[in-house]
Amino acid sequence: MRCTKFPALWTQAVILLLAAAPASIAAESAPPFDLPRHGAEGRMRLKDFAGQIVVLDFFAYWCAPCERASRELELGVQQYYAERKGNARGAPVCVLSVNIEKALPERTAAFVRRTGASLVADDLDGALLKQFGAAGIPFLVVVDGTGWKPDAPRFTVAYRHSGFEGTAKLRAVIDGLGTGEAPSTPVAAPAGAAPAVNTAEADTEFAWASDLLLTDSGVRFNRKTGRTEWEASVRYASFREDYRPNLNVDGLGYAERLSEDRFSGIVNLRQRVADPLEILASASAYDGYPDYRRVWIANRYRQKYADPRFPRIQGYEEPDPKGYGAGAGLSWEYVPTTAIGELRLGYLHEQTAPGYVDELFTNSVGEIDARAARGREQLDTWSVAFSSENVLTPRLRAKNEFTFTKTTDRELRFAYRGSIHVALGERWVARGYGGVSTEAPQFDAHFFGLTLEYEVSPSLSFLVTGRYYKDTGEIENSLPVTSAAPPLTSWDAGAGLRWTVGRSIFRLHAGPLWTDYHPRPGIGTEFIHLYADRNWGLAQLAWGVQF
Amino acid sequence: MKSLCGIVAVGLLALLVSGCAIVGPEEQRLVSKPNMQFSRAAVFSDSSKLMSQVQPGLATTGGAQASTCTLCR
Repeated sequence: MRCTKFPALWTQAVILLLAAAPASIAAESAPPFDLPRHGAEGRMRLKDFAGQIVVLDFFAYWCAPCERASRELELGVQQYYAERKGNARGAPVCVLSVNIEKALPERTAAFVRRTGASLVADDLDGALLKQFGAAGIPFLVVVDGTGWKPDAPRFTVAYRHSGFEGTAKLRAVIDGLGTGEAPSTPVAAPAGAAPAVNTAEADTEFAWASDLLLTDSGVRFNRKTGRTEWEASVRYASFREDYRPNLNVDGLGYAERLSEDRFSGIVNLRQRVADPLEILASASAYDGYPDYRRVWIANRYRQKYADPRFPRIQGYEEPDPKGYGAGAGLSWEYVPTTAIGELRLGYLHEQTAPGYVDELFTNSVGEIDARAARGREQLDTWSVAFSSENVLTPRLRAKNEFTFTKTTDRELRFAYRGSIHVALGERWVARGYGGVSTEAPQFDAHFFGLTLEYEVSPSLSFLVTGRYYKDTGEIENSLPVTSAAPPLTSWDAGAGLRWTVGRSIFRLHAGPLWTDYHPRPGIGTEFIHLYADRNWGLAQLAWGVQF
Repeated sequence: MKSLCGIVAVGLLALLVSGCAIVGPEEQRLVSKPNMQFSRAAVFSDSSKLMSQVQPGLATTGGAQASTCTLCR
């Protein structure tokens, strides 16, 4: 890892911001260049563009946004101005695509074919890119050579920017350049807008044990247009459970097949308000039980207080769990494409499936009677989360996530998760992660996991996964009969593949999961079958397409 | 509380160390591969939506459903 001479994150980021701010507007001289043509004889020199406007499009084959930018530039700038014989003032306009990647030239050739780029040069050591001070690609520069004279060469930088803002923005810059007469009537507004990238995805997941079957499935649609990105997803979850009471402490309980569902949805919005800054907003809602354990626990209370064989106990109500939430945040890309910090605030209101206790009271005729006293039903949760994602070396990308959560009547909960992705070679990638979670008075959890992925070909990868998890057991609630989970140790492993077919990507993953509970002596025996050790199976299938 | 402070300190240190790295665009080929990104896409994610029901300490989002309190009172 290499550090700048200013090691502090904030100092460095401020410097980068200050350095980047005037870059887009200053009319400075363009550095001269002399680059070999890509895939052809000859060289491309800056002076070849005397009297013209040239758009430099720095790209690499592995840069997904570059492909879209190069394609749009070829159609929306190169061909657009060729058809009009120049810009609004008649100055010729040319796009020069500049490749910065020397490895795997066959993939660069395929990139050029896909984008249709007509004029391509190589800057394989990135020297020219560095001279322009680029921090990320796609990197676009508009050089104005219309003021050039043989006795006084003059090429000025009219625009430079990391990231593609769309052809409309570039045309506005280009049409303002040149020495000819400005058109008496404004040029028609360019038809080209910022390119849209759409992603659609569907996934489903199954977890099963001898007495449980859980599913979670959903679809997601994401659209990025210019400075705006929005996303909507809906999910469906099901819980199928063979409920068993502990007859030693619940003599009236009986075995039962449970079936419950949950529907949920979320909408996310990201809006870029300034070059390095995005604002984030989200809204979500769900209707149904949040997990299989609450389905089991709620059924225990249903049997006890609403047993069809006996009169219904006063005070009991059928649970109707649901919730809604909202979030807002700020994302700061303080080094383009390689360093992002995010701050998020969240709120969630939930109506839960409450717990019950027996309560004695004097009824209207003066007799002592029993009724069910309901536990807390409404919960509010506030959260603050901060995350930072960084490229540390040419082979290493890391992410740190911190979350603080406060729920009604509970202590502050803190969670940390660190992830690191390492390119072990051309074909091997290791993705490791670990985390902790803690809440007073007595919950602590930690976990770590590793995924190893091998790229058999550009369209097929195999992966193996493993994870270890341990906690100290859920916090004892204040009910006389606790339903809190005892301490848990768990392992899971799996194998899978990712397969690309055209624009579609499929992922399949499956493996076993083992849970090993450590019951607290004399506590929680009512739910001994819920917290039994199990051998689980877990399977995931996902499909995604970008268009 | 001591362990919490220790965790926060280690996390912040990791954050500061991360923040001082700059890798030029011409060196980002390997870290730009889709399977090297921190993606929310299910086809590139190693996470499981069902797993946090079994292992409650995995959850970093959500309210009581992602909490360590099965029934709160």
